[in-house]
Amino acid sequence: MTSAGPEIERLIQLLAKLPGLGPRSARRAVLHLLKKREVLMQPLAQALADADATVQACSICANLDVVDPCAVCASPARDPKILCVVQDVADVWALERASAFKGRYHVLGGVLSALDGVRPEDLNLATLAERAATAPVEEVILALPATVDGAATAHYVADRLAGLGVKVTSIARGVPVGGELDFLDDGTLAAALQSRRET
Amino acid sequence: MGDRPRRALTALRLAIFRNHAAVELALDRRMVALFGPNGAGKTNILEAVSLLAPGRGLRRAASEEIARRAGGAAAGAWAVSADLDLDGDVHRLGVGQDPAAPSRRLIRLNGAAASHADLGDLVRVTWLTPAQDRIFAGPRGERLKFFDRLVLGLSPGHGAAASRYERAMRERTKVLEEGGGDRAWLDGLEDEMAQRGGELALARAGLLDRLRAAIDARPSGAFPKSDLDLEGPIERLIADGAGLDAAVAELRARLFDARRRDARAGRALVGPHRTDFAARHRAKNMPAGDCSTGEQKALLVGLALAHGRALDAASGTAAPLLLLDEACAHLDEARRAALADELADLGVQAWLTGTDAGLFEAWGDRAQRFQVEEGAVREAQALA
Repeated sequence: MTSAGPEIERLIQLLAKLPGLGPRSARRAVLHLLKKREVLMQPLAQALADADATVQACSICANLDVVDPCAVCASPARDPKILCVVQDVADVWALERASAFKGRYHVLGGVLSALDGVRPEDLNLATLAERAATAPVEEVILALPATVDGAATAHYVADRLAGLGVKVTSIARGVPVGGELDFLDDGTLAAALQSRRET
Repeated sequence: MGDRPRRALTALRLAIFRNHAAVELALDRRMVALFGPNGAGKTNILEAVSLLAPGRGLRRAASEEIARRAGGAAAGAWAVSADLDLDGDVHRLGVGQDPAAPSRRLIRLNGAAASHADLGDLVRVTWLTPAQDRIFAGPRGERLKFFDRLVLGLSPGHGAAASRYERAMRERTKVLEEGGGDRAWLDGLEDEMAQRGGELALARAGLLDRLRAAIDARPSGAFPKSDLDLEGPIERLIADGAGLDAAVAELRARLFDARRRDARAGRALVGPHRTDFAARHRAKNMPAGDCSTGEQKALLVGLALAHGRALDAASGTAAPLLLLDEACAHLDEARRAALADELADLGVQAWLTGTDAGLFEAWGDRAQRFQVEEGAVREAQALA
């Protein structure tokens, strides 16, 4: 608690809810902002307002952008034959940073978890099935986390897409580039061996 | 000293750890004998060592319970740090309570933040505590946990596979509970359970073979030999020669068949979490659980020694640190002497506790001795 009045208290409370921030770091952040009003606090307030006014979820793939459909879905330079299914927008950003994928995305909005109350109807599965069943989509790549929930979701999605006439593939799991076998855990080594292929 | 033991702590430091405000032990890789009255804090020191390995330590305590209490409230965040010498390389390890989040732990390895799993490869620890004295007569789940901890000494990834298996199992139970019976979702969860479960069974079966070989390789000695078995359909299948793929397929099929039953029961009635680790006293030809407490203790000590030998023989894994809490309490003089010899022969850094220094006479100068009193630990000389 501070003795600085409800506005500052409210600001601290809200910042404390952000991932990675707690009450102590929120207090430090607020003081920092108040010391740098014109350089940081005001531009931040404006950026927040702008993002709130303009950012929306793409109605095709659920990616976030200021236009709908998003830039990826609308771009003719992106390969419409391949869809890459991911858990969240953060994964789209990661893959885009890597510039490794030239097709289009589909954001599920989470992974299945009965314990956390995420059921199939809570994910963007119906829209995925529609897109997969529609030309020109030929392949759906599953790029979901290698966790229990991610694996169960991948299995579920693959099942849902079976019979729609698309190839369903999964990204490889295993040895990271530049990685020495000695440093890897048993699970990764096992997965890497399992997904081996001919050279 | 030679190159044994291959894995040993050369220093141990505790801060705000149960009844020890600050303790520092300078060690020279010999075995460690801690003696002192009941309640002095000997087991606390063993617990501190056990917390260096992944898991909640030998008392399975939650982080908040450990910080020393001064007048009711915790007096700060607890911390354990140690220097570990593994095959000549010295590593600085640290595990402690996160001051900002009392239920969480901070881990450090050689000056950098690390995960507990990172320490898992370096710090392998096995322990025997009085709570386990009656493990053969007690609940199946406790015995299995004990056995899985032994497997961890050989395969550090076993713990991660077990966590994933349990998560998938809990998810499956919830999906079954909520009805709707989404087939594809259950298929996916059962696939994960089958993969991880198969790995668990394979790792367990592997250790069982090595334990049996280690037991049989020694002539009969002071510690009775046990006949060990894993009673579970998947482990059985592997013991009969099936490979991982066959084991996974079998488990997947069994889980599928069990859906309705498991939905009614509210839990999974089939799977490696239900395996029983069974032991028989070979010479007496009776289940270990039917033997006297003293005999059961002797069987357990024999098993711990066999485990050390099994790991030693297995692809050069250095034997784990062995924590034997009050192990000498039920052993007669002859068995204590045999224990000292076997541990020395095994070349492990064993940590032993007892109420009286006299219990460790047979160790001679093979063990460093420390007298533990409320709030203080001091090195003591061996009795002449």
